[in-house]
Amino acid sequence: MKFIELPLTRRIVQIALILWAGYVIALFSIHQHHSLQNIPSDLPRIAEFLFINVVIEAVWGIVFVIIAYGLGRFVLDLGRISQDIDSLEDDIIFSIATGFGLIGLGTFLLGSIGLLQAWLHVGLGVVLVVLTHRKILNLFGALKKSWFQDNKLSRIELFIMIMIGGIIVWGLPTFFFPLHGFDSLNSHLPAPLTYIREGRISFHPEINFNNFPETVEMWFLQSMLILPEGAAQFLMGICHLVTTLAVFAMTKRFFDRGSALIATLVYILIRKVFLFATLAFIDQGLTLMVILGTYATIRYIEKPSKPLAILVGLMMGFACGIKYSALITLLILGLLVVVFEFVGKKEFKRLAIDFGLAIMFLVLVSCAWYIRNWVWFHNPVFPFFSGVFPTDGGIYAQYIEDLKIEHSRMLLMFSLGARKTILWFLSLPYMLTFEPFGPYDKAGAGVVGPWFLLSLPFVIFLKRIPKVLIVIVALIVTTYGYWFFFEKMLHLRYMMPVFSIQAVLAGYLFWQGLKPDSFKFRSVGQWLSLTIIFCLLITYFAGMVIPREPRRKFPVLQEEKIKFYNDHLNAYQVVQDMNEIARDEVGEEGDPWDVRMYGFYMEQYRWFAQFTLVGNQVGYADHETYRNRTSTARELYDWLKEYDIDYLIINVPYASISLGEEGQYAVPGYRDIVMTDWEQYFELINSYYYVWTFKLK
Amino acid sequence: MDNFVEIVKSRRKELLIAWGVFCLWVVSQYIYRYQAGEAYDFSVAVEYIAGFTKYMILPWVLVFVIALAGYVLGRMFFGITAGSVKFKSDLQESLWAIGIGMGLIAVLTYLTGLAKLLYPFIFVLLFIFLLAGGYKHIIHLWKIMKKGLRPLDWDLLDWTLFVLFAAIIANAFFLVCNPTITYDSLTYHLVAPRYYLNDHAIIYHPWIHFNSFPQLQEMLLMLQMMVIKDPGGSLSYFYTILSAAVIYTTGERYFGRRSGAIAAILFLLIREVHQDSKVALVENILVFYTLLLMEGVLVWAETKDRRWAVLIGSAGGLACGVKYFGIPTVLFVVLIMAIAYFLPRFKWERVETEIIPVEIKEPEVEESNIETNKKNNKIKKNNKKNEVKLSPKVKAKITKTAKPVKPLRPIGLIGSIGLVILWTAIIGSPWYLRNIVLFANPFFPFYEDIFGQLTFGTLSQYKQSAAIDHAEMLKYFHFDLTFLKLLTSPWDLTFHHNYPWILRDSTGAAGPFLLALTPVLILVRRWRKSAVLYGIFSLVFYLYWLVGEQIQHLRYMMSAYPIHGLVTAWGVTEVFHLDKFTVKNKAHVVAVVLLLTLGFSFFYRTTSSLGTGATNIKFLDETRTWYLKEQLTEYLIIDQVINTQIQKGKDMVATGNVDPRRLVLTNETRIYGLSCEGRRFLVDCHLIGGLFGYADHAEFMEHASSSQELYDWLNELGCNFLLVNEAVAERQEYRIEIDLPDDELFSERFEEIARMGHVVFYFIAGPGETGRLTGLSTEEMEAEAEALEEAERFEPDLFTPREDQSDEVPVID
Repeated sequence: MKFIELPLTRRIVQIALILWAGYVIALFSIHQHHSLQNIPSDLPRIAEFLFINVVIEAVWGIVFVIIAYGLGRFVLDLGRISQDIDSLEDDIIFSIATGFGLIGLGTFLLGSIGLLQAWLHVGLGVVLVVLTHRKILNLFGALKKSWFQDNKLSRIELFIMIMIGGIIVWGLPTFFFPLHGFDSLNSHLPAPLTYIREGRISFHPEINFNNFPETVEMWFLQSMLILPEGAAQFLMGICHLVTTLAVFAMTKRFFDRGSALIATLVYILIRKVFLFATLAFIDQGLTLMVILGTYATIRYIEKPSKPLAILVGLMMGFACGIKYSALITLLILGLLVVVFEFVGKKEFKRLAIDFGLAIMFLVLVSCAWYIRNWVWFHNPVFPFFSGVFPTDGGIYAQYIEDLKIEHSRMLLMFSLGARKTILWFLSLPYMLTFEPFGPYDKAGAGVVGPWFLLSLPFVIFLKRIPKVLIVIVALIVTTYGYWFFFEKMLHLRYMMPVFSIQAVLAGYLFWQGLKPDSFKFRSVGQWLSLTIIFCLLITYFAGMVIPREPRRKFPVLQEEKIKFYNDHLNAYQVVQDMNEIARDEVGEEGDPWDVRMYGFYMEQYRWFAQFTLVGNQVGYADHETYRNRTSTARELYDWLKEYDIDYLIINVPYASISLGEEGQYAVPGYRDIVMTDWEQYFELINSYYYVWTFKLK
Repeated sequence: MDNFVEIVKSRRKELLIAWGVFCLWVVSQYIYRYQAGEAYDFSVAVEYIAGFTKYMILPWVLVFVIALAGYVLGRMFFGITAGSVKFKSDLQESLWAIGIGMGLIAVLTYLTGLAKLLYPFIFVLLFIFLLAGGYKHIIHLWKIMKKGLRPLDWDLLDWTLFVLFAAIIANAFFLVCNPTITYDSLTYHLVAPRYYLNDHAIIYHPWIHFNSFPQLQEMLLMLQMMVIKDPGGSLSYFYTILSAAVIYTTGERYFGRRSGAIAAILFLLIREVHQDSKVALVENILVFYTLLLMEGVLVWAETKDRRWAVLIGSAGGLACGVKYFGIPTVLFVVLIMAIAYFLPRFKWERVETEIIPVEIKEPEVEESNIETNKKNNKIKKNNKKNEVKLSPKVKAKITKTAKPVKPLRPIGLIGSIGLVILWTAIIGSPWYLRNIVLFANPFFPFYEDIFGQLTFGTLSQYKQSAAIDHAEMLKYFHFDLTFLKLLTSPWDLTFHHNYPWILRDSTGAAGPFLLALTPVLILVRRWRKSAVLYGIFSLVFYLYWLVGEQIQHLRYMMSAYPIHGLVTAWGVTEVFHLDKFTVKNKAHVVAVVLLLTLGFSFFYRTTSSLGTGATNIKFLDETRTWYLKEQLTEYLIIDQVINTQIQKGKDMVATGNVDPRRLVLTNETRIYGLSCEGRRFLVDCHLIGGLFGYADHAEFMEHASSSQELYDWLNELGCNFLLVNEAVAERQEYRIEIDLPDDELFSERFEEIARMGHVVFYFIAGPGETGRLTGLSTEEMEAEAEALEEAERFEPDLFTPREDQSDEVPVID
């Protein structure tokens, strides 16, 4: 046994023991939840599944972030914008965001000219790494130095860090759940997939809002070039984490580290925020850019400089390249700068130059999307302001009316209606906490959580009100006010960027009010109280913040993933069947995408369809139009033929849910299937739990 | 404005309290709305608070009162039997006092029951006497508790382990008070005390399984049940907490503080431990006394103080009072004592300053000067960081502990072992003496091959059937041992379930940590005596079951887990030098975060997620009823038919309004339950019969060959009713096919008066009798069933949003 005393042998055995322990614990956990029938044969399949669905995605995501950082930092250095970036956190967040934005823009430009080949983009990635490797190595050096410095955190700060870390680690697996979420499956994911399939970026009217800015979809596209299902959800998870770091950095800079930690904790506990961190939607990307734009703006208000002005322009430009609603935040931020900076100091010239710089960079990085709209519809912000712009031309003019109607219908769903009173606006802190907003939050408490309401009473503990706080409050109030009074709607998803700013405010108020740093946290009693807080917050996070789908069992086998979809999507199996039918129909030589099927309440199956799935809830040839065309089976048949439709899929259960109690009667197929002439035009070829598929005769 | 700031500053405390109230309101309102979709009003708040107090707080209050009385009694006992025996720490002393004291209270209760004096007022008087008479002990406890809350100079890693430990305990603290749904508890652990309380005496009930076994736990449960009907698993959980604390104190003294903390966490992470601690089962109580025994052995081996032999014997006696398996456990402990004596003398190499109370004096800073003095304080604190002030008392203690102990002579060893056996016999004897009187066999129904011929017991008529029942039960856990099976048993115990008929899940209940971490011991350079002794004990324990009894029932092996765990935790600490680790930088913080997160994740998702436990606390009458109905298929018929009839019968008798045409169910009514033995506790009259009990299923089926025979046999047993769960009985694992006679006589004599799903309730009618139940209406029952469905709405389930509250957001970009 003497050999085991040798240092090298000992180290090897130690590593082997750690691996053994990890193996046993992991196997036990998997085995317990997944009842492996045969461990030796199941394990390789699990390893393969996890490798494809988690490890590769994670590796790709990390590499993407590193490339984005390198590119961002490179560009910021090139433009000497980085001279005002004076902390490691700021370096990370602004560089990554800049890199993300530029990659999105670059992908769009390349895609527009038909350069969407995987090898080209991988090659460009390699070139970027080579070009920026010094920046990346510098970052690793800085991180290493920071990580191994003696920490100077107080006990309560350490505890909050543990809480934040714990919650983040707990939330990580949710980013790797099978792709889900209505909008993701309907538009955000099918769009880039379609572009890759076609080899270029073009307009697809059947995909909702396909003319809107698509920077985030470009990131998804990058992941799909290499990975079959991409890494969209994980990318949004990364955006969530970077935004969290931005909340921390912003609060730390303007207030203190304790407030920053609480703000971070509050931010990651907002239900709505975490929901979108687990979905392949674009809102996390928008939130990241908007909070960085806001952060840079407030820094500019505090201490104006050209680099900061350019940074504001870049961040808000990228935000405008993600979603139209960023334009509103942009206006509000501009207004705040004017009020807080210009009115007091009256430095016209300097301000004009800085404004000019900011706008120049903003336009530079965002104009591509708006020019595209101009070409397509003669309206850069189509379908908005159609009265202002000559929205009657463009190469896709035939879809204009449908798209305008579609969007106005959607907006109606979030209209405040009778609730739009001043008193109601004043009671927003209460309402946001307790009242559901929007047509789909029918019951339950607000999706924001109780944190902001709880922080408000601490205002009375403030001995002085810093200017930054006034700016932040003004920004929050103005944003809510704008949507409330001007847009007459309050869709909480649009408010997500504001939530991050509210978290900053809440963090400061909590820290000032509770003054937890006055406790030493060295006794059992004090740590017991912290334990109770830990339990409550973890329970809250696990029970209420993690959305319903990821709360399910994490699939570790392909069949479990399919089961997840079958449990979650009632017509998943139908689409799989139709994929097969489409393939059979065109044969080995043909392209199944030439087969066109009309799906009634089948929008979220577009991601799974390997044929052209037309029709959607609010899109062109929308359901209402569809219903209007179905007074007779013949009429419906003619109308579908007009669109070259070969098959009709009707999802009765989902329509019944969406259309309310009378839903099933409002479903044409359901009603018309008994019509005398139905069988003359439609042949039932598939029936699966009230999801019917007809072939047009 | 200045005035306002001043007011706020001077009234800060009051304002914070007001905010606390506001916080409570907002959070509770938020959670309620999240689930119920509407705001709660005052009456709902009152209902919730009352329900929570009644069902969640009260069981714990009772446990704490019993523990407090136990503490007093324990210390009194030490004073009488062990003189001024010295403990190594206040925590250790408290744990021993509470453990021994609670055991003695159980023995007293048992004796009172045998004397047919089981009246609540007697116990009220006993507790008043103990608490009032032992007020000095209570004051002592209060002082050491206050002392225990002193500032400790622990590293963040220690505090993280503490948070993990406390969080695991807190997670199920109220969950254990949910209604009991566990088979064993409902079949006998809770049933026996219920019957004893009804009878005001401890009387043998042949149809309660294992009613001849030692019943220390049942005695303590009975004290709780004098106040509340179903105390849930609060007592068992309390013992689990005590066990974890004993692991810590043993670890602190003999393995290193971090080893103790890690071992305690590993213990709590074992699923079998967690699952069994949440319900009224005896295993965790036996684990506690086994841990006391082993700790006692180490202290005895270190100090050679015979008074510790007395304490070991007392704990051994109580272990024998918990379960028959306490006897071999004591024998193993005696073996370990002998080994400890003959093993070469190891150094007790703990640094004494680590285990004795260290007073850290904080520099006192006035609140108003906090800001300005912050820097100075930091400097002062840093200067004082390593400055440990030892009081003269502590210094004296170090000197005293460090004094060399005289070697024990062989006669001393024999004397100590003799004391252990003597005290074990004294404390544990009541249970065994009773068995001799009743069955002429102290270990009835075991060793019937030896004692079977003796028939002087007063209840010897039950000997044969009970012995057969028990032998049948043991067959389920028996396996044929081969050498290969023995070799692979660590793997099998980890990865394969060992319950032959109930597939709770696919993994072993021992959890993965023992198998994962034990190999680390090969890298240990210097073995401690304590580790050697604990290692031997756990090995002997495993081998006893695997080789000796050839039973692979993980619950029986539970006592070995924490002891094995301590050795493992010590090995990990030694090999990876965790005892010297301090959190210095962000990388360390990340490591600590991972430890806490993964540890708690494992607990949350693996340890606590399976088995017979709900994920939410049930403290409203509606939710408790709904929960029972959901979990137990027979509950609806028991509650809505049987218990309701008994209550109606009582009301009729009370008002003198007895209808001679109707049969009245009373508490004395006997119902024969076929495959319903697991619901015995819920029935307000006698539910006899059962899988392993006398008149078991096989016997039932023997008598069911004809209607007449079945009728005669049930009449002989005094049963007027028959309750059958067809679904359970027909499950393959029971290997019993329900094949009731299907003839005219059966339909005449066995009148089906209620059926809900697979559960059928028959009235066994005499000739000419029919339909004589009181006011039973099918419509009424259906209405109740609907009401129960409706009660689901009140379920305070944090984890399941309302159906109509969707996270899914359709196209709205």
